[in-house]
Amino acid sequence: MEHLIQAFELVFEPYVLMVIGASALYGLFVGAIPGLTATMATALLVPVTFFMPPVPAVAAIVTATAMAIFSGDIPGALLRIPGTPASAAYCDEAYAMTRKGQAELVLGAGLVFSVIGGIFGTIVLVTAAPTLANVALNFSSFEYFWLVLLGLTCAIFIASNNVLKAFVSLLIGLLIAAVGMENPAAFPRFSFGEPNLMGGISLIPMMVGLFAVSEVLRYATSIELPLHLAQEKFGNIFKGQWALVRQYPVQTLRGSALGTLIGALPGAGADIAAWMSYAMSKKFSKQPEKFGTGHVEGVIESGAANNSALSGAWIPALVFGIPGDSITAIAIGVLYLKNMNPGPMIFINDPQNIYAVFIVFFLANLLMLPLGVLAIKSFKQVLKVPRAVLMPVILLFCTVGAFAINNSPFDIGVMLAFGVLAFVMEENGFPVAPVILGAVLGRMLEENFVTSLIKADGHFVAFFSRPIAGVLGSVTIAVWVSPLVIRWWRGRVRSVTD
Amino acid sequence: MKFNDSLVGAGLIVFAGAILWNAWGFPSMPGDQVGPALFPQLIAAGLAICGAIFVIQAARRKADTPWIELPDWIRARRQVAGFAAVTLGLLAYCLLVEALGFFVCAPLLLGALLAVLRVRLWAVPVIAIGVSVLIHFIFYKGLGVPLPWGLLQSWAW
Repeated sequence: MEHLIQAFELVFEPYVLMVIGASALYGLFVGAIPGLTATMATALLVPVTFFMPPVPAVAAIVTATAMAIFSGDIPGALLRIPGTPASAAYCDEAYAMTRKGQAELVLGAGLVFSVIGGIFGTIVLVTAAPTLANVALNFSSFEYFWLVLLGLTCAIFIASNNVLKAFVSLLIGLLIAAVGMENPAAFPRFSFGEPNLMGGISLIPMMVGLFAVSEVLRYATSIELPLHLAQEKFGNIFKGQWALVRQYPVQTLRGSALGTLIGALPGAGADIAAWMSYAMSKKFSKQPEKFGTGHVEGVIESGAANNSALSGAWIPALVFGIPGDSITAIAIGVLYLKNMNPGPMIFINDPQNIYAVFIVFFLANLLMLPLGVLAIKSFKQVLKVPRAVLMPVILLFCTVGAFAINNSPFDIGVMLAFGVLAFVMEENGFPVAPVILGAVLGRMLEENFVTSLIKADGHFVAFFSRPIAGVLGSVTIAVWVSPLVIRWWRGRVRSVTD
Repeated sequence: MKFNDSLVGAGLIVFAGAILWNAWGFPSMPGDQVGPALFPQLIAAGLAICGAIFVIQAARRKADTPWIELPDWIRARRQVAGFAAVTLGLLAYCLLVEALGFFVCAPLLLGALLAVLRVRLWAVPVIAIGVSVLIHFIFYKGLGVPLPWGLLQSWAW
């Protein structure tokens, strides 16, 4: 209780509230502009949060991303261009509704069900995280090894349609984590005598490169098409929303629950949650034929899912230090810099900070209602900001931000290198998210692997001898073997039927 | 720029070889069976296996896609200039910023990009200088980041 009061004091102080307000507006703006993603919003925030105490730093990230995921719906409905990838799943549906004269209804649904999904995810986070943390207190290196491996496995098997390419991305990420002397033997690996690489590749310049510089490059090499707004003036956004809440309770709940779950799985974030929820909604709908013609049901379910995924991703991030998506991967980087290392101990040592993060989640989602209306009404003005000016400004901001972490121009080079890497990878269909997961989790994986190997002393069975480790290990191996088994089984069925 | 799958595969195998060759020189830990080389070796093995699968898959498909497929934008002058301005501009910034200073490099980088992206010519210097001053104010004054002064050291505030 005392910690809870402390947490309220941490959040409800003018500076933190100002940070929340400013990040909310920033998030809404970034999300509403096509081509700027919520992950990029986070990457651009990091250099600024670097100079803040932990609670406002996390508050800025949580608020900005929640807002960006909602406001990505706005250009989806009005321009047929999703503002962030998380809105892509139901962008056509939303635009079709606008064409039918239902812009208020679909934008309102996007807003209201984003809030509901966000709050649902937050409630799960608040209840599940401390419980899981209690369990995690007893974890040894064996459990952590399997947990990290299972997380990385999910990232490549669930979060990508090309397992092979995702695996390569992951290995590149793990290799990045291996650079420098932060390894169990403290031997400088792959630093080639370069003093700037002794401590490893700095995560933040790397993330700014992967998620922001690559977007600027993509913009610079794209052909900009003129944008046509389908509707410019809006009536009451909330009209008819209560009826929708009462008409689609199951869909709302199902979307929120699936979203939270997908979010909590490492590697899969809001965008995949939205795609899966939309598909699920269509499958279980009583009127599947209406999907795609401007039907609100799928928008509700997946709109709730992408915001609940955002909260869900923080569950493994806070409890185990294993990020649930790219956004929390960046956030974990920030937490490490703040010496607020995620893991079960944080729930015992700094419970007030954790409670403060929970409060921020509720606050951000509630704040979304009034600010969301503002964002919808002022979208026409937002579109007037010329992207040809915005993108160079973002690039300079990235450059200064990357420099600011260590005051080193070398980091600008790191940022550039990773920006080009991400650009080339995406052109060739290699997903970028596994790189960041590998880079964030590589050291944890190696440390627990080496510790476990030494403890096991040559007996591989030791990796499975503790009950939770045994289960985690078996599940991990099952996920790896399953594609082979399925292929073999299909082959057998085919040969029998022939 | 799209690379053909066999080329990607071959590249990965060569890369894995380079990692192995480099990790060869890592010392082993006295008394321990696991040294710092093990983890990179496992990564290299993984990359090599993936590379081999790429090559095999490409061979099975027998499709003759070109080794390197140039993107459509390579023929558009503005897009090529955009790519060059971002990459070369950043490279120059990173190499020169300590010698020349933020107030020389930042407006030049911004100005080059704005010009390439076809912002109106009169607006280019206004935005380039204005935004540089603003960002300098935020980071140097507000956050205390020692942005280098370079040539303008005597003007530092």
